[in-house]
Amino acid sequence: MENTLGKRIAELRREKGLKQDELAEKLNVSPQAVSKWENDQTCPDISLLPDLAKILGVSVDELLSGKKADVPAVRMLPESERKNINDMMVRIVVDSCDGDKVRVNLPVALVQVALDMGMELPQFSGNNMLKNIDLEKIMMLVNQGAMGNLVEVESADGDTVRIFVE
Amino acid sequence: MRIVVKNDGHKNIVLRIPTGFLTGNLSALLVCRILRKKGVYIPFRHMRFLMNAINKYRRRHKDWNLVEINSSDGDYIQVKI
Repeated sequence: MENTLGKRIAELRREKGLKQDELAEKLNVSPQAVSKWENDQTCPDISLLPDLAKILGVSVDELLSGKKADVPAVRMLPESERKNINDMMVRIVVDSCDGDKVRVNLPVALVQVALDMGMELPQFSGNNMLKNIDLEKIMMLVNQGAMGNLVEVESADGDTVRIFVE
Repeated sequence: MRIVVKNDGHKNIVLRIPTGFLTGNLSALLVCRILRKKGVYIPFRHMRFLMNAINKYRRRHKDWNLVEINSSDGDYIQVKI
């Protein structure tokens, strides 16, 4: 994670697919305020931290310290708590050791359609790290209610690939 | 579809491409041809089905952030559908 609060807010906001004004609206602040936070010109008011952390999907501690909490990577949700599959997203996050970051957001429904058509990941990404990942098995888990960080691969060079579903 | 390219020290580029162009029959045909050259055979009707699924999803979820790349040099690319 980034090393300043503002950069962490920006990174987490982008991972959630939110714009600055969308985040501002959820917190009842101005978009300019969010922009100032992300540029480390100001900090969010302390009373906003719990809501901000909730929207960004982290704890307040993670938001402030940048350290990831030790939580179970995957949850199996009972049928009553599961989201509609059309609203779920597969997020593929690639962080290379050189500092490059790639984020791909694919709707679960589209991934299922592509799999049914016989498409495989490496043929599109050309990334050998994804070569041994069985996306069909991942989708089977998702259909059974698995959510969270389903795959985390770290190469010998220090590149990491994470696939999580939310 | 919107493609944003930000490069340190250079002017930002924003390309706006009608998404209908991306998910139309011509694009589906081109994608099938390109994939066939890479050894992946997908029938045209399957590709059309996928394109229709993309369109359906896009109508439900505006501003779908498909890809975001932050390079270590400070370059930033975003593809939004």
